[in-house]
Amino acid sequence: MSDSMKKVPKVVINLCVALIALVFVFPVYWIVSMAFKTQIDAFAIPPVWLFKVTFTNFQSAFQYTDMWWHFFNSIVITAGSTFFSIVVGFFAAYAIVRFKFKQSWKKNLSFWILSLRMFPPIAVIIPLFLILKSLRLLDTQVGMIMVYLFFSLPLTIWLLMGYIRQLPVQIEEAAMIDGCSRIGILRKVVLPLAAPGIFATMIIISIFTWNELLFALVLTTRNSTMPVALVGFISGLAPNWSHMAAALTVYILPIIGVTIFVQSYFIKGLIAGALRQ
Amino acid sequence: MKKRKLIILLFIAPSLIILASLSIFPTVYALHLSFYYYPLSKPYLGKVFIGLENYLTAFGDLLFRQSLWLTVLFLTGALTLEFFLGLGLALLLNLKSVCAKKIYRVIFLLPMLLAPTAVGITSRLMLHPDFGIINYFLNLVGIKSVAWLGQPKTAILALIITDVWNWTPFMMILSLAGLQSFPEEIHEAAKIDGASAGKSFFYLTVPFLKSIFFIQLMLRGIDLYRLFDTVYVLTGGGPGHSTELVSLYIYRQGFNYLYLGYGSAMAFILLVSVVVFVLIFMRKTISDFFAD
Repeated sequence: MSDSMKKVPKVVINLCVALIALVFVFPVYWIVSMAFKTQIDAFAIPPVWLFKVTFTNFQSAFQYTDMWWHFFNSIVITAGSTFFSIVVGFFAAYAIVRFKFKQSWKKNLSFWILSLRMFPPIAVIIPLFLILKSLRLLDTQVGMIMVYLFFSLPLTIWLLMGYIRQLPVQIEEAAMIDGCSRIGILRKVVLPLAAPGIFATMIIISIFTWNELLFALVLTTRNSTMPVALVGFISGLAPNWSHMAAALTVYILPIIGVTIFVQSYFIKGLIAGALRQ
Repeated sequence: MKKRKLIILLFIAPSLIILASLSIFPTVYALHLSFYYYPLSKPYLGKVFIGLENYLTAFGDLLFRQSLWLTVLFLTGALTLEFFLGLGLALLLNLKSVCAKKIYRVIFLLPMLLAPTAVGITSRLMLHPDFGIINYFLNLVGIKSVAWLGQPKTAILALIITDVWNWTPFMMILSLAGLQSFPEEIHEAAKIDGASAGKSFFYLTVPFLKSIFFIQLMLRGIDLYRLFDTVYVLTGGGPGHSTELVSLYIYRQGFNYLYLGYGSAMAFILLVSVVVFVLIFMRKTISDFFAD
């Protein structure tokens, strides 16, 4: 296929791709640049492409509000649920892949885990709201970490299953023959080998938790995560879009950083997770 | 081998307990709630058992039916666009003559990783009738400014475009992975036999990628069906109820109007529809996959 494309000059193709890439990246550029523009520049028509950079929006968005608290909440809740998800999910994934038990059990279990991936969150949100309410865990970090396991655990187990499956059994068997205990095998053999997979899973889970809105919207108010705070920002009567752009920029900054630095991990993880199906 | 069984249990138990308490228990509870009239806005009423009345109301609720219809419409539009755009992009990026592929990987990956909340807010800003950049560009080529989020028809279009921008990279990555796993020799053999690029694509590449296409459509389809974040932020239901997708409608009934019983009933209907769909279409794929 690439051969017949030789007729189309290399320049044209690269230009096409560059153009499409420009379109894709433009909205990100737009909102981030808006954060650094003065309010006059931000809303000027025709738009200002070269502008004087200012940090006042960031100041207003964070210094005189509690946006930093929501940012902090996002970090804590994301880190917490990702951590527990991986710790708990790793053992489950390993057990499902390595241990032989009844085929029907395995199939049903895996089917159930898969179907959780397809669950509409709205179906559980009302009961979860009432449950958390009675447990006095509404609007708490602990409550949110627990609840986010609903998302992250099935996906974690799924992805980790894919990774562990790829590891050669022989190494573990050799270690077992050498007298290593199960826990020892896990620690010394499986964990180091599966580390890239665990890392990729960690990234994917963190991103999805960081981005989540519905659960946070319903189950938190004052101690909410950043997406909820951002939404609250624009629901007001006269939202200050420039300040909001600044808050948004800070919110997506970690994601942009992750994309740049760990994109290979993420893509591999995504492909592995999807193609396993 | 009792010790073995114990270890297995120990390994899996925490996950099972957590997942069961977060999914089975709430689902059963939701079913239970759906049989009650439970308006949290009137706490003195508590829960009133009304049997299947919530479900009957739901089936008669025009807005609920409309939300289902809108969701299907939106799903079809967005999925089609995302699929074909993703495939097209993958084909383009797969060409040998493209340079700086690593940079493109980052650029094309980014929209998918951004929070739908962020994407929705950004879209809303860009689609502003007076200050939005989109209308500015349209004006440049001679098209009049459009009140994107103020009219029903353009609002749903805006929603589709926003989601397409957000998730096409997902489709693209999967398509690209599939394309790259396709052995080049087969194409070359076909070329030697005189097949054109088009023929070799349709008769060789496509059948090979069928399973990946299926996965893409399934994954994204389910996600679109239960979409909430983007539509909540972008239109909040749109002018009137014209972009009120089903998740949003259930949310409104359950948490704005606080009809917890009614919301639970509708949510349960939604859940059942997903499960039925999965059972019908995924049965074979899943049993194939897990037969190891």
